[in-house]
Amino acid sequence: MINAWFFAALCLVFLTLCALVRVIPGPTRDDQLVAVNAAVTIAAAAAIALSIYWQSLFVLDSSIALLTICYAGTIAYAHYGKGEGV
Amino acid sequence: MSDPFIDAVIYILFIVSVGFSGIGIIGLLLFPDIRSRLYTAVRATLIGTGAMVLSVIVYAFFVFQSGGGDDYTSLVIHTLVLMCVVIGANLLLYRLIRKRAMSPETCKPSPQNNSTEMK
Repeated sequence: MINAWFFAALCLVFLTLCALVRVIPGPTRDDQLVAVNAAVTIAAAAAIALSIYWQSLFVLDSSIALLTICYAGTIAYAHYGKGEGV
Repeated sequence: MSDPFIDAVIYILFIVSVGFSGIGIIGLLLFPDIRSRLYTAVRATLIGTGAMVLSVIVYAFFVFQSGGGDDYTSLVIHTLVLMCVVIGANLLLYRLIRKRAMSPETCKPSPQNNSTEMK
């Protein structure tokens, strides 16, 4: 059962990397924001599975802190950015 | 884990989580315009993360019932806090980007916005 958590985490990490592929070409800033948002959301699911696999709440706590920082940065960038610039 | 029913439920939730996340990524990579990408990426990845949270809750509930302990209660609370952060940030970002994507300037067809050029 524990290996299933790790396997699910690996799959989600792979999907996170696939989402990051979208960040580089864009082509617009909104596309990059959507891709970062999807990558961070999937990374949250991977962090949950990894925290169960490692039996550690510290992983979950640190991932909550990191996610909050990432989301705050993304929302600030979306709010103060000038629309569809590349 | 020893209960095959609980194991089956958790496996199904894993499949749902990875499947919906994959659907979101496929939509993100293949769809041509920002609105469909936004719609797919936000909703599908949220469903995937929600399925993972649900699997953690099922796991924690089962382990708590069989062995007890406060660790699993705090695990559920931490997981729910993480889910609240994820949902709140996704809704905020969705509204911000959707407002821009629905504006008349960006609704005009332009060759730049037809961005299937993932080469």
